[in-house]
Amino acid sequence: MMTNTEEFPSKSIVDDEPLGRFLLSRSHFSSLNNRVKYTAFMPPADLQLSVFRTQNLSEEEIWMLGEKEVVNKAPTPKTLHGRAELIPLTVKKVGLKLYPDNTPPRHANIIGWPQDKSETKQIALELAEDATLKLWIKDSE
Amino acid sequence: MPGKYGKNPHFNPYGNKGLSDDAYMSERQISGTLDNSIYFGLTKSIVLQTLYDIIEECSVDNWDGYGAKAIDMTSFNEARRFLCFLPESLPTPEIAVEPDGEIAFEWFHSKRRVFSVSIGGTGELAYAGLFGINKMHGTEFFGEKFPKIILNNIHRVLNDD
Repeated sequence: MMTNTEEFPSKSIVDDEPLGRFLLSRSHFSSLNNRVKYTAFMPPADLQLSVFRTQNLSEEEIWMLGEKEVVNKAPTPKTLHGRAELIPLTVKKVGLKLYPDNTPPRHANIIGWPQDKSETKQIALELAEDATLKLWIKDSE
Repeated sequence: MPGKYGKNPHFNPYGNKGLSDDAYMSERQISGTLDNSIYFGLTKSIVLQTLYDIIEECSVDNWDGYGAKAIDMTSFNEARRFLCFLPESLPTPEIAVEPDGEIAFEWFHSKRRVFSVSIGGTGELAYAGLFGINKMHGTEFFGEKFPKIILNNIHRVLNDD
């Protein structure tokens, strides 16, 4: 049963609600060790790391969200390999903040990154340590 | 239109702009021979091949779907130089590409025992590591010698102390 994803966006963040970072690059995870690599959490130049709030979504709906809002918006064809899942409490523990801008619906940015690259790497390592890797295996494969 | 070295037709990891495709291929074959020589070692040859494979994926902007820059050519060349300096006795590192286009080597031992080094095109290395409850980060210049602090931290993450 489809959940109306448009009705969810609430500004209040719950510490243990699930956040998903969709993975389109093989260098962002290790299927051998079943882990997320820190590079999945290195922010882009604008220092806003994009994640989606996936509470109350089924697995199928989460993958559809990733296809719609990340894969289909990429300028060149991409493959959705999986997602890294973490919780807002982890973001707080490493000194960052979660800003739910809901643009698109359910979207949030992890902000508050330092300017120093090595410090950013260390924070990304810690986020990756607490993240769970969920690989996407399409029914057609 | 995809290029010979990846999806970006203008990407040439050898930095020889202006040469014909045949010249590029000759250089890659020569370089590949050197890279696969006994001197270079089997482990590093495997890592180097992984590097080439990753370049195929990351040679265009937005390769990660979140606005990442294409692999930086000078970072690629510095990564190869870094690989030459790595002692053969060390385990094979994993390779990753960061959103700024820099290449990183990572040694993962177990939960909260991981160390990574990013190779910048300017010769600067940015590193960070988790060693159980301890953590650290810093930068070091990669000149004519392999930085001892990098080697020490690789050993640190691999040893259960």
